[in-house]
Formats: sequence, structure tokens, C-alpha cells
Amino acid sequence: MASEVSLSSAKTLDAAPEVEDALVARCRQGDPDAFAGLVSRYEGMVYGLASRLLGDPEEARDVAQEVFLQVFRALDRFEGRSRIKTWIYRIAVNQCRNRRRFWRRRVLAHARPIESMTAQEEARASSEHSLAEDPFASVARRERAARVQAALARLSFDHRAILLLRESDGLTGEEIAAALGIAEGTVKSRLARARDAFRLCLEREPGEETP
Amino acid sequence: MTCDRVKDRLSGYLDDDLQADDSRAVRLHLDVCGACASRWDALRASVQVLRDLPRLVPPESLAPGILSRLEVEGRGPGLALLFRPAWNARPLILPSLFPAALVFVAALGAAVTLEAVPRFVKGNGWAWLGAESLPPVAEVSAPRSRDAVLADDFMPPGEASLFFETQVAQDGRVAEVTLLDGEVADAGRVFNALLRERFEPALYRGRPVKTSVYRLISRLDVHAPET
Repeated sequence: MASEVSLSSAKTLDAAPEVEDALVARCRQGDPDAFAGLVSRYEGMVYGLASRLLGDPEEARDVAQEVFLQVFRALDRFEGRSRIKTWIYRIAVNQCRNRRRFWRRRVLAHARPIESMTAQEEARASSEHSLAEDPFASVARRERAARVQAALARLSFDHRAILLLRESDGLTGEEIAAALGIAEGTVKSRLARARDAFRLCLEREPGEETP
Repeated sequence: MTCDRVKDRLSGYLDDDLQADDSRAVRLHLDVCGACASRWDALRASVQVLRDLPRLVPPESLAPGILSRLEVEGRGPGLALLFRPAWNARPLILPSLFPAALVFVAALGAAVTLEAVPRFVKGNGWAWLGAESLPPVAEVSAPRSRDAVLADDFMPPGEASLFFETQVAQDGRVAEVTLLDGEVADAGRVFNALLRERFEPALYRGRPVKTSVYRLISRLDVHAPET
């Protein structure tokens, strides 16, 4: 299952709208297979975004579950003005934002930063990389990923969200606007600021003041 | 085009989202300005590392867990509430406040009825007067001793001065006697006499109330000055 999900790249998610509509219609009729299909199609997208936004794989898993529960509870209210993918993104961002506010008040003794992923998780996460990858290259790639995650963690939530939606998940400006509930013009200006802030975070050493 | 204007357009240039004229001006500027070209390279590189991030995937499929939770919710709200995360459960606090508020109001009402009633106190307006409230001194009659104790009879010989507080209960009995000033050694017999004293209780608006009586008992030997 995991290997299927790991291949859930943008290509898989960008299924024909009529296929999506049919899946949503079956979900509305209470078809459990359709529910499972919807989760399988989008769980990688939601979990990946939540992991990067929250920086904690355990939290991301909980959030992803909550996102799909909310999707199913609110499916009758989905009007189809945007694509189901964008709608799920919006729920996911809001859940992460709420979760972040909730947990910020607590010290999580069990919190596991995403940089400390086990070798197994990392292998699964990087299944698109060659299995015969040079061990040195693998270490370098992991260090680079940890550095990127650390830089992301130093950004504001809004900047982190827009960067991940645009650069990592490849959403268009229109899709980002729908997912974040902001105007397209705001997407452009916020994206420019977020890119600038991220560039500075990458250039600075960890511990230096956030731009 | 100035460096500042180029800087503002780099993000749009990256997305190929500029007007043709703007795009050409930015390109020309980057060809001749080392600082802006360096900034442009850093921006492109930082965006590229984000695009190269591996997609993280859940350790196992979420579907079975989600479906079982949906099934639990379908059985009834009671079990579903147990499975709600804390932040979703917060709205439940509001309805639970209503019975709590009712209990609070009932308790307050009982306390008011049994212990205190709002009364208009002269000069102070309306005030809650309960068992622990003190009425205005001017409106309380003084307690009268039924069997006046001749405290002097119990005073030790020689010079002595004792200052007592006698707390008189609502039924006229002496609740407590406290020596406020004077030698304890001199006070023993007077103290016992004061404890046995009985009073007509003090009255406030016709109701007996608890009061305190303060007494200075003194014996001084006065000598005529020698001439």
C-alpha cells in the first residue's frame, strides 16, 4: 500500500475531473470502497503536506486522519466549485493551522522531528530515488533534506504553507488561492515574500534570527 | 530597470508571470548586474531544493483506521465524542456550561435565602447582610448585663489594670473572653468571673446579634503628695 502511495505524485492526483466526480458521488452514497479509494488517492498528499508543515510525522498522521474524517463528514456540503483535491488541501491546511495552535501551548515529550525519520521511512519517502544510490549521495541528500526542513521550520506558518503548496506540491496560483482562501493577487505577493524569506533562512545558519 | 524593481519581480520572473516588456527588462538587468544575478541564482537554487524534496508517505495506509472511526461515529454520538480530538471537543464546553450555571445560580439562591438578604443600610445603600456581615454600630443596641459582675472584687491587691473583650453570643451567653492588655497573672479570677456573666443580647432591628463588650478594669492606689 505504502509503495502505491509513495507513487502518488502530481500525475496520479491529476486524474480526469469526471473520474474525481464519480468517486465523490460514490462516497456521498456511502460506498466504503469509494471512501477507501479517496483516502488512498490523497493520503500521501495530505500526510506529506502535514509532515512538512508540522515537522512531526506522528502529528502528521493524526492530522491526516482528521482531515479525511472531516472530508467525509462535510462531503454533502462540497459544492464542486473547486476540485476535490483543492478542497482537501484547504481542510488539511486549516487542520494543521489549528493543530499547531493547539499543540504550541503544550510541550510534546514524544514529538519526533521530521529530520529524525528512521532509515525505513526515509527509504520509503525517497522511493523515487534509485535503489542503487551511492551511500555518500544518500547521506548528503538526507542532510540536505534536514537542512531544508529546518529552514522551513523557521518560516511563518503562512509562508511555509504557500511554499509547500507551490514548490513541493506544484499547485497553480488559482489552486493555491482556493486552498488558502485568499485572492490570487495575494498569492503572488505572499509567494514572493515567502521565497525571499526561505532563501535567507537557507543562507543563514540555524539559530540565527529568522528574517 | 533599477535593482529594487528587479528584486520585486524576481518571483514573477521565476514563474514566467511577467509582461513581455518587464520580463525582457529583468533579463537584461540580470546580464549586467552581478548582485541581482547572484540573488536570482540563490532564489532559483532555494526553490529547486523545495521542488526536489522527497514526498513523505504514511507508514501504512490511513484508510482502515478512518473507516473504522467512521463506523464508530455511525453507531451513535456517545462513542464518537470519545474519539474526538481535544481541539474539536472544545465547543462541547459551551453546552456543558449551562447545567453548571444552573447549579451555581441555585446554590447562590439558597445561600442568599438562608444566610443573608439584601437590606438597605442607612448611609451605605443596599448591602448583603449575612451571618458574617456586620451591621452598622449606631443601629445596634448595647448588650445589658443581667447580673453585673463586680469585677473589682476579683482584682488582685495593689495596682493593676486589665483590658478585656467579652464576646456576647446571640443568646446572651458569653462566647469568649480575651485579655487584650494587662498581666495574665493578675487576670485569672476576673477572667473566670467574666466567663460566667449573662447578658440581654444586643439587638439590631429587633433581632439578637453577636456583639463584643470592651472593659477596662483598673485599681490604682492614689497617694497624697508628701509635703
